[in-house]
Amino acid sequence: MECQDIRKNLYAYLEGMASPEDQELIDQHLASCRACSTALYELNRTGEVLKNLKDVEPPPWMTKKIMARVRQEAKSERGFIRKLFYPLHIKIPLEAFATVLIAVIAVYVFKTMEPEMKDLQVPSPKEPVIARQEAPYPGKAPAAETQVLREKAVAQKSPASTDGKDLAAGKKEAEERAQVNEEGGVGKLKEATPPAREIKTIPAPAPPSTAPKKDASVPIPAEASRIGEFRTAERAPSPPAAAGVAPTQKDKMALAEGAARERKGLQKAQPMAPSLRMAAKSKPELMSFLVRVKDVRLAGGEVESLLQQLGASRIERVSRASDEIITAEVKAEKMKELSDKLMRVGEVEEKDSRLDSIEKDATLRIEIVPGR
Amino acid sequence: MEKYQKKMLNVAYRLIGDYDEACEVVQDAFLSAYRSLKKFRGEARFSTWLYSIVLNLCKNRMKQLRTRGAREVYSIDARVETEEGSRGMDPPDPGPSIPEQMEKREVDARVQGCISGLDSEYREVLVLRDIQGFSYEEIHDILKIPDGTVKSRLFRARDALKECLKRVLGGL
Repeated sequence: MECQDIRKNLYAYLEGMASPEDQELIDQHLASCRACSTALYELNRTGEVLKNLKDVEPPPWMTKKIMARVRQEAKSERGFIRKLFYPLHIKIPLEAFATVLIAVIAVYVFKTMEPEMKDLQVPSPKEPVIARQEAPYPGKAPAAETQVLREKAVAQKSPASTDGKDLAAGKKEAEERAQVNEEGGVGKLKEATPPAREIKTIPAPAPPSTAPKKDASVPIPAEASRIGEFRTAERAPSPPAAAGVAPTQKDKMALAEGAARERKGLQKAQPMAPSLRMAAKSKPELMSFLVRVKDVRLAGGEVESLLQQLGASRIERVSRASDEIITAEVKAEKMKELSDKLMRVGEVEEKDSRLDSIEKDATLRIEIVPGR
Repeated sequence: MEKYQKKMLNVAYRLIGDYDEACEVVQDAFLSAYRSLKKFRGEARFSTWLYSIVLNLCKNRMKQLRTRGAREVYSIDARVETEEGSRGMDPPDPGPSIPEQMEKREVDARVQGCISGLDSEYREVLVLRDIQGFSYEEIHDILKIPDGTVKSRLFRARDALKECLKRVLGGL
C-alpha cells in the first residue's frame, strides 16, 4: 500500500472503522514509514485540539429572552384571534343594529311578496259562484235545482254577511235566475249571462253587484262536483249555451271533466287553480278536436303519448264511461304534426279551422268518442 | 430548553465564529421551532430537528455576513502572518507542542479562525463530529447526506484543518 493510500485511510484507522485487513496493513506501513506516522500523529493531534476547544456558555439572559420572544409570539397569535372574535364594545351596538336591520328587511320582503302569495293561494270560493251565476245553464235544468241553489246561497250568505242590501240583492238575482230558468227565455238569459270568456276576466275583487253572490258561495263539500262543473264551464271555449236549449256534447264533456277533477278532491284541484288562472291570463288559443275511434281507451292512451312526444304540457286526461277528453298545451309549430297524427289514431270529425293559421301556443281539447 | 441551548449555541458559535451572532441564531432557532412545532412529525429525534434548524439558520446568517464582508476569511493555503513574520508549512516540532505553550484563549481563537476558514460543507461535519461529538447517524439526520459523504467530508475537513493549525499554531 502506498503512502497516499495509507493517508486516505488514516482517519478511518483512527476512528477504528478500518477493516481488520486494512488495519493490519496500516500498522505494518506505519512501522516502516516515518512520514505516515507523523501524518497520523498530526491527525490525532488535530482531533485532540478540536476536542479540547472550550465550550462557550450561553449568556444568562438567553433563556429569559427566548421565553419572552416565544410569549410575544403566542400573544400576537392570540391577539389576532381575539380581534376576530372578541366582542368589542363598539361591536355590540353594531350587532344590535344589524339584527334590527335584518328584521326590517324581512318584514319588507314579506310585505312585498304578500300580493304575489295571495295570487298563488287557493282560489277564493267566489269564482265558482260567479261561474255558477253566469255560466250557461242547460235549459233543462229543473227549477227545483235552481231553488236549491238559491236556498243554499241564502243560507250560506246569511251568517257571513251583515249587509242587508247585499242579501236583498242576492235574493233578488237568484229569484230572477230561477224565473228565467222556469220561463226558458233565451233572450233574458243572454242578457243575464255574459259569455264564458268574459267570466274569466272578472277580477277577484268583484263589483258590488256581484258581491252578494260571491259571499253566498262559501264552498262546501256537497257542492264540490258542482264547483268543478262550473270551473270547467269557465274554461270551456264554447259560447254560452242558451237557456232552455239542450246541452251540447261539449257542455256535457266540460261538466264531466269538472266533475272528474273534483272527484279527485278539492285539495288537488285547488293548487291547480293558479296555473289555470295563469293560463287564462296568457290567453292561449283554445282549439278543439273530436276524434271518433273504435277503442276509446286505447286511442286515449295513444293520444296522450302522442302529446307527450310532441312536448305538450299540462296534459290532462279524463276518462269516462263512453269517451275521453284530453286537454293539453301544445306549441304552435307542433300543431300541424299533431293534427296529422290524430288522423292516424281515428277519424277527426271536428277540427278547428284556425289550425292552419295558428301562430302561438294553444290549449287543445281533444274529445275521443266511439264511433268508427 | 436549557438542555439543548448550550449545545445549540456551541454549534452556532463554531459555525459562525461570532458569539453574539450565535446567540441571535439560537434565539431565532427556538422561535422558529416554536412556530413550526406543529410541523414536527416525530420522524427524527427532537434534538436532531432542533440542530437542523440551527444549522440552516447558521447558513443563512453566514451568507448575510459574507455579503456584508464582515467575516474574516481564513484561507487554508494562504500564508499566515505571525509575530515572527510570514510562515509557511512547518515540519513537526519534536519538542513540546506549541499549542501547549500558548495561552488557551489564543489557541482557541486561532483554531476557530481555521474552522471558519473551511468551506461550509466541511465545517459543518467537522463541528458536528469532532467538536460536538455527534454520531454519524445523527449527522446524517441533521444534514440529510449519506454516511459515506459524511466520512469523506470529515477526512478532508480534518486534513485541511490540520494544515491550517500547523500554520497558525506553528505545529501540532
